[in-house]
Formats: sequence, C-alpha cells, structure tokens
Amino acid sequence: MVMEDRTQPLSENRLLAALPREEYERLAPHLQPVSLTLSQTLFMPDEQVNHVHFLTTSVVSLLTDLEDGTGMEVGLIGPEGFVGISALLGGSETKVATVQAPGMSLRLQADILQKEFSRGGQFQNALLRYTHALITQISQAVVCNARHQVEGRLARWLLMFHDRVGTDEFELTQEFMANMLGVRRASVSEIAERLQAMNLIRYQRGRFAILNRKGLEEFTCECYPKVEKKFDDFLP
Amino acid sequence: MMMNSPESKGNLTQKDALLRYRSADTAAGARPLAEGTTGTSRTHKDIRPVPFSGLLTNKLLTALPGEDFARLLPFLEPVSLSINEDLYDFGQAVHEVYFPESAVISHLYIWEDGSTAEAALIGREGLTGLSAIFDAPALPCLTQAIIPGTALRMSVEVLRQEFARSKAMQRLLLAHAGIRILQLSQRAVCNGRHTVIERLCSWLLMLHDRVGDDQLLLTHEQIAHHLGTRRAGITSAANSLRDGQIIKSSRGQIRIINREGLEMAACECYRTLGQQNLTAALP
Repeated sequence: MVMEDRTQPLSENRLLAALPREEYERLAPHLQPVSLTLSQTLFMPDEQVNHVHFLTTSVVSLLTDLEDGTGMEVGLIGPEGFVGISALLGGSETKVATVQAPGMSLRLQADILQKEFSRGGQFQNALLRYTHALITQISQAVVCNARHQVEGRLARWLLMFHDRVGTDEFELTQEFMANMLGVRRASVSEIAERLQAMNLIRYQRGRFAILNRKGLEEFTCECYPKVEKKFDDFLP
Repeated sequence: MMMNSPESKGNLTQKDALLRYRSADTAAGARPLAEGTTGTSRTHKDIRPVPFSGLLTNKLLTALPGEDFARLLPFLEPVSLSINEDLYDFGQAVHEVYFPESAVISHLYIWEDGSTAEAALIGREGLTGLSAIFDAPALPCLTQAIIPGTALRMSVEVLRQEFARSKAMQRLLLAHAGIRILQLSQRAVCNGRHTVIERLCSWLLMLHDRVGDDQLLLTHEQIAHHLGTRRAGITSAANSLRDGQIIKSSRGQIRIINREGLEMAACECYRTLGQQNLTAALP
C-alpha cells in the first residue's frame, strides 16, 4: 500500500490544504494562478462576484466605505482565506476588496465554487468554517473600534498583517493605514512614530519593519490575543 | 504563520473579568437583573418554556417553504428570555440555536478591565448559534437578551441535518451569515467614525425595528455597556434627544416619540442596519 504523502501541503492556501486529495484534485484544474498588484481593487460594493481568490502569497483588506469617501478596514485576508464571500453567501458584495500586499492568488469561478460547495464534503466544511472565522474577525473590529486606543489598534493590525504576509518588512499605503485606524492620513505617521519610539517597529515613508514581535504582542489591545492569536482554532 | 497558543490564559482572564463585571454591576444596582436572580445572571438552564403564541414572526422561519417548516415544527420549542440572561455558557460549545421572536439578542464582549461592547444585534431577522451550525468554535463573547421576550429554541443537531438536507435552509442560513457580515462591517466603521449621539440613534432604531414597541426598557448604564462608551456620554446624548422632542427618557426607560426625528439624527449607517434592509437581503 502506498502511503499518502501529507508532509507537503497540497496548497499554500490553508483552506485548499485542508482538503482530501480527491477533492483537491477535482478543483485543481479550475484554480488559475494570478498575480495581484499592490492597491489593485478586486471588487467594489454592489458588484456580483464572478471569481473568488484563494490567496497564497498576497494579502487583501476588506473596507466598508461611507458616503463621504472615508471608510474603515473591517477584515484582513491572507493565505488562510478566500476573497469574494458573497459568491458563497448570495447577493452582491458590500465591501471594497483591495490588495495590500502584492503576490499570488488562485482564482476560481464563482459557479464552480458553488457547485463544489453543494457536494458537501470537506470543501463545504472549510468554507463554512472560514465564513465564521471572518464573522469572528469583523466582530472583534466592531468592539475594538468602540473602545480601544489608536496605538493599540495599530499594533493589532500590524500583527495581523505580519501573520499573513510572512516577511518582517512590508509596505503599507497611507490610505490603508488611515482606514484601518479611522484617522486622517495626516495623523498616520505620527501614530506609527509612537510605536517606533518604543523600538517595536521601524517606520519610514510607508515601509514597516517589525523589530520586536513579542513587544508588539504585549503592547497590542486585547483583541489580538483574543481572536487573532488563536485564529488557527477558527480555521479548518 | 498564525500561532496556536496552547495556554488557556486568555480564557481565565476573561472569566475573571466577567465575574468582576457582574459583581460591580450588581453592587451598584446598575443593571436591572432578571427576576429571581441573586447577583449573577441566570443561565440557559433556567430558560422557561412558554406556550406557543401561534404567531410566527421570525423571518428565517417564515421564509422557509411550508414542507421544510413542517419538518422543523416538532423540534421548535418556544421559550421566554429574560434580560441579560446568558443563552450559552461562556467559551463552551453551543448546543441550541435561538430564533428570536419578540426578544432581541446581543453578542456582548468583555475586556479585562470589565468594560464591554456589543458586536451583533440579533432579532427576528435571524438566529443565534451560527458557529455550531458551521462547525466552528463559539465566539469569545456573551450571548444575552438585551430586550426580553420570546424565541424559538432548537437543537443544533436538528438544524445541521436540515442544512445538509434542504437547499432552502442552506440558502437562508448562508444569506443570514451574509447579513451578519454586513451588519458587523457597518457597525465597525460606525464605531470608528461616528459620534455617540449618531450611534445611539442608529442603535435605538435597530431595536425599535425589532421590538415594534415605542417603549424600550433600558438604563443609560446598559446602553453604555452595549455601545462601548461611558455612561455620561449616553446621558448627554439622551438629554439632547429629549430636548429635541425625539425621545422621552426617564429612569430605566426610553420612549421613542418621534421616529422620523430619530432617523434624521442617526448616521447613514442605519440605512444599512435597518431591519427592512437586512430582511430584503434574504432569498
């Protein structure tokens, strides 16, 4: 009998890697590797989503925008998830999905996602668990935004981003930072410099380096340890 | 990448905070407690079954095809939920779902310093216990009725079987998850960008939609617990709404006397958060 080799994950995407080989192989011909560029918009509110993206090396944020053009980031998706959840839940998209770290994704047609979901099996389970993980993450943003200081929230987003991007140095646009903190663009540098003064990060013109991950974890608001540090538990 | 922490420290501190939150509140007499409580909230073990009124108003259940609903009916148990009554044990697996009828249920988060804020607000447009149906861990929060009333209770197991069997149920529960994401996303931006008075107005409108009664039994303290703000901020916002003849606010209750005025004073978020809008998203 030939033992299945599971030392090498089937995919860099966590949801696809959780599938039995048979289910993965049924999907594989439909997964199209695409390259996502920084600040690329994957969809806008009210759009019907024709494709979803299972991220492998890219990071995408979800933003809820307001009528005055401001908004706030409510979710962050990396190789643990997929972008375009309305393809599964029905209706049209309600958020803006923007690439915050360029990289690769595996693109899948919405109708194939739906068809495979209807079969049940591990794919259905993985998508449902991820849906709830996203609900958990956005719930935390709701209560965090109501109560926590902006420096603690910046630390939380940086840790979340660091978890997903997989490198210690990365670039974040000023607009993304302003929207994740709910502040004006002009205040972004000042807030980042406060974390820099504590030697937790290095920050220069949008480039971040995580200098002291442990220190950031101690400094962040409780929302990070409560959900994000345990995000693994929420995933398939 | 993401770390899996084996330590249970998070849960312990959260439980401590929970106890502190409860005892502080009880000592100050700040929150009206459910009848028959002696300092701690009642747990789901005490939830009282009640006779079914015969009027089904939960939108998820009324949207089901007759045949699917008939299959569920023997498993639906009408219950009465008291204010601040925990529907689930904190951090434990969920075994029942609740379809609110006249009750409104809230997901309340608690921090180590005892402060709190609400994430989801669930009325007759939805259900609680989505995590269990989706085979996911429970949310790290309390699930409590903010407005007492009735709900229909059902075992998670029955609903999971129904999810696997009925396409209509599957579509409805997925749509409900979409509605939940929409509500939460809007509240995240609202909490980050809008003033206390705007948020208060949107929240009162959300409750008003779900309750259908102009009179809401809520103290300023409770509202502050749910909106995640100081009580003083709620009192001053409520005073200015009272001065504008929009609400009447007296000890432990708020009466909405000018719904249109309340809508004018609310932020744009209410247009998304309104029950009409949320229910329209159901298939």
